[in-house]
Amino acid sequence: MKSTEEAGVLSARSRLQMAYRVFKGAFFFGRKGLIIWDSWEMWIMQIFITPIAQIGFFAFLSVYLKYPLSATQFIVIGNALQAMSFSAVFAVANITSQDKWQGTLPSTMVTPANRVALFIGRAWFQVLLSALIAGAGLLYAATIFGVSFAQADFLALVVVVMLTAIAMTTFGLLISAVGLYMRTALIVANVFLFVTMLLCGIDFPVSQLPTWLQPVAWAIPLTYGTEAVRMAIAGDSLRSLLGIIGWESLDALLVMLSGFALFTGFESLSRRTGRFEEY
Amino acid sequence: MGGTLSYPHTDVGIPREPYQVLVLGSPSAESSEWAVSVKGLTREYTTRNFFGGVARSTWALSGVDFQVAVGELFGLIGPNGAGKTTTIKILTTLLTPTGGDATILGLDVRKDLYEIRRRIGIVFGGERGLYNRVSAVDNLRYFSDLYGVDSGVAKKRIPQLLEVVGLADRAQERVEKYSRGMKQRLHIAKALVHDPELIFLDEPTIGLDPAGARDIRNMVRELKAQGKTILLTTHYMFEAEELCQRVGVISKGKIVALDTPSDLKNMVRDISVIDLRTYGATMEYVEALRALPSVVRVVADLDSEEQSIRVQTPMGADLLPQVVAALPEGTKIIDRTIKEPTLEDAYLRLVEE
Repeated sequence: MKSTEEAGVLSARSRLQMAYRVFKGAFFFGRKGLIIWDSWEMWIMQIFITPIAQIGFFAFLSVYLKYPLSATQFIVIGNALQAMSFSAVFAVANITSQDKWQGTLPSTMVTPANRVALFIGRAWFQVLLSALIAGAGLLYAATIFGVSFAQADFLALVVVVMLTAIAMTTFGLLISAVGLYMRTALIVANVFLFVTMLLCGIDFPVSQLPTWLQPVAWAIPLTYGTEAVRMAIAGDSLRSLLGIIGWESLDALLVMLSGFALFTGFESLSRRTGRFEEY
Repeated sequence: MGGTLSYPHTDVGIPREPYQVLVLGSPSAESSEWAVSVKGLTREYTTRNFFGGVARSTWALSGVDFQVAVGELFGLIGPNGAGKTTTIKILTTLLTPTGGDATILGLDVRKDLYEIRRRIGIVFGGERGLYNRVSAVDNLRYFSDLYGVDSGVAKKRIPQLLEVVGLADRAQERVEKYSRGMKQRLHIAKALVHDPELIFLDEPTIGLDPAGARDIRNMVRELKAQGKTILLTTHYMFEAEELCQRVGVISKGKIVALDTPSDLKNMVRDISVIDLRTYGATMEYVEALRALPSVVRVVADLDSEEQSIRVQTPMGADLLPQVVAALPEGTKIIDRTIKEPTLEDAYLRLVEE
């Protein structure tokens, strides 16, 4: 049997070039080919309606319950950021399922495409969309719900929102990997969305959770994100947020590596069990 | 159709080393001289119960052996569930075998996944497997990226491919608006976007109208003329007979015969075929024909207004009076022909034995 070396292995540079092409192709194709609701009306609705509905629900609930203004504003900021989860987690988690439903998963998996580039490239558009949704949420916080941005460090705010969008997308990728093996990942994504509402300091501080649950909360990047966004609005500079940003980045990296490990693991398992075409 | 399936081979776009043919007699020679070499290939599907134990086990392949030479157009035929698609899935790295060995262009299907994937193309039959909400161009551009084809090369090659598969004038339309035949032609273009050496065609004409199927067969011929190695699976015997240099007949997970179409037909040269077109025929008439002495086999398609019945017999035309005498009331023979046996007759004998 001829070894791979005899057949001619590509140089590291060639492989890197190919990986770049895969990333680029997946990045541009991710929105067009894999998002079922791809139309400008839908995008605008997602960016502008989702956050106002979510923020409004919790803000009016807190007003009805006669919470102090500071508590309402705490809730408004938390939900402005959490609103991105639908796009960052749900839509990204759906990518592999979409491939299964369209019957394109076998065609994709028989390509030599670098799996890291493919895995990340297809989700990248959702990072931008998620950041826009959080941006719209914060805009509503300022213009409708009276959150003051007078002290805010806008550079820190932009960095934190972008980082949180990336971090949450990595969670979407992690769940998307499950869809490679299971018939759908949407149930897992749904559960995860509600878990973030509970654990990530959206409507109340993480310190209010039972002690044993708090480490779980800090394993989710969104928890760092909500904390950091509130700090940036309160006037903390990017420099003073480096610690929390570092933890969020590390967390996101670990989630992404776990997601990729899961993706390759499930790819191998699907090859053994023949589940690529089950949907 | 727009043209021939050719494009400059000097700018294939992805880095490639030539396929290496080792000298006969070396330890690797047996597998390396073939584009595809399959030995004792097995595949078991198991369903596990709640506790992880095996609830059910099915052997889809139980020892498949065959080889395909470089540049050959090889056919794999067999009934539904015989193991054709499982074989293709293993050879294209979508499924791992349970046992046995398989090499593609000298590379091991278990270990050399990356190299194999760079050098093969796959055409899946049916409408699925394309991104329907985007255009043909977008589909091809995406897959050329996944195969790492240089963007300059892809820019030239994609319009050429669309031209030869006859989709150039509708290249910017969403694939969801395409007919089944158009989708199948796009499948072929997709499989060629990285200029593979070996192409797997898994029932490429299934469900197509006669004109669409003829277009696909012409493309397969063109690919063969280009020197591509092709492994084709099909349900249609005339297609295998028309296209393939050699044919492997697979039944119940094993290759039961492997030869040229003409040599396979020789297996049934002791019989003739009475081809009947009838009106009003039912299973009752088919059973009556089967009961006639010296009738080897009767194959009938009774679904249409005009039925088609094929009677295999060593008696040839001498059986006709009995065939006519067996007609029930209300059944008429519209046309009858005595024919030489075809590959289908050989196939039926092989898969029923």
